[in-house]
Amino acid sequence: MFRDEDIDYATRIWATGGQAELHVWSGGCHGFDMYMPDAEITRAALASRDSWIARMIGAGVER
Amino acid sequence: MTAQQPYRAVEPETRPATVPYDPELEAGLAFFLDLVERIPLRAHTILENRAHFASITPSMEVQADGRAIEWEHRTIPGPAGAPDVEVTIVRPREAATPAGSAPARPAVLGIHGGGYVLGTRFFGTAELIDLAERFGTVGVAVEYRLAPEHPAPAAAEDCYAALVWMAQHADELGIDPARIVVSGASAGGGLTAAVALIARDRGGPALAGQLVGCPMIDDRNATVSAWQYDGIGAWDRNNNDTGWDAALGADRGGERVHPYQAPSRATDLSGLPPAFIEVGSAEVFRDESVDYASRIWAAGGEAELHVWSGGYHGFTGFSPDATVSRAANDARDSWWRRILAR
Repeated sequence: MFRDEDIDYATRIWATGGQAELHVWSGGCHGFDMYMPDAEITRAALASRDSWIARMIGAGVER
Repeated sequence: MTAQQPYRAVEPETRPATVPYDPELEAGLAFFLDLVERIPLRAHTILENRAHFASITPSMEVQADGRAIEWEHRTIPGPAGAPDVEVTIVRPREAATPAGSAPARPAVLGIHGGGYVLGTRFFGTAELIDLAERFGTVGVAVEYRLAPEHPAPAAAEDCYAALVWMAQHADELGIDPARIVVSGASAGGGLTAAVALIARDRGGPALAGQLVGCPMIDDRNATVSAWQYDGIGAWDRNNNDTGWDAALGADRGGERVHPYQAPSRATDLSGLPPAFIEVGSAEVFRDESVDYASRIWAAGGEAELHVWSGGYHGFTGFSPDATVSRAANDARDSWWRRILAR
């Protein structure tokens, strides 16, 4: 439901030179990480989110 | 516009600020620029760049050394009226089994990058070796014809001929013809998208998936991201102009460009196999990748899209140990697991 407006928002952040990371998981429904916690797609989605947090924290520490 | 003046996108009044690179990627980007893009790619340096590419691409013997794979070269029929096509088959090494007793494996048609003007199939075999070892796939790397000697869609037709050959020789290859995935990055991503379109339109082999990596699919070179990386980064807009000029000649940017030449030109993106599209947020191909995924979804199709923050063109290959690269590789592996489990 929110797919297209999320993509538009990310695209407009990039267009201004801003930083954004976008993942649209195939077949994922709204809140799929809560409803299907053991699925491969959920594991992968949570891993990418953890990676982003690690990168943001790491960048903050280094600076 | 005359034949002497190649197509160029209309420059925006204000140049957009660039998206910064992930700090962990800066070293790999510098290495990429020094190693791969030492010679700026322009029409008059294509041959020089081909020679340079050949000098930095390891041979199959070197790539396969110590790996749990077997490989062989084959010559297969090309498209109708066109020369034969060279391929290299990469398969998992396994104990000898009586013919026909091993279960059919999933297969990958691997298409190398190089801006439609550079590279050999051995620029793309590393991926097929990894996939064979980790997922048990049989890979076929295809030596497609390059531009400008062979304008688009010669390359796409060669790749499609390889796909048809794979499906027709599934028993001999030990593969399941219902589980063939096409995969490529950069120009290889563009050719992957083109092969999926051709297979759909001609009722060809049904693909299990298309892995469209940082794809070169839009000849117009007119997106915001194409302007953000003008003279900046890996595969900048000038290199992109060179590749598309070579692939399309005087047709570039015009109404005659066909989707098999530049898949972004397709108006119908329905009925395609599941797509995995990945790209960096800091590269020319960002916006055309997002647009292609969006239009697959709009047509009711299946696509997974990952835009990695601060990624340069090809960042997972040249900065493999960066946090963002490991996350990108993990997401791609996850897609392989999900696609091959179907």
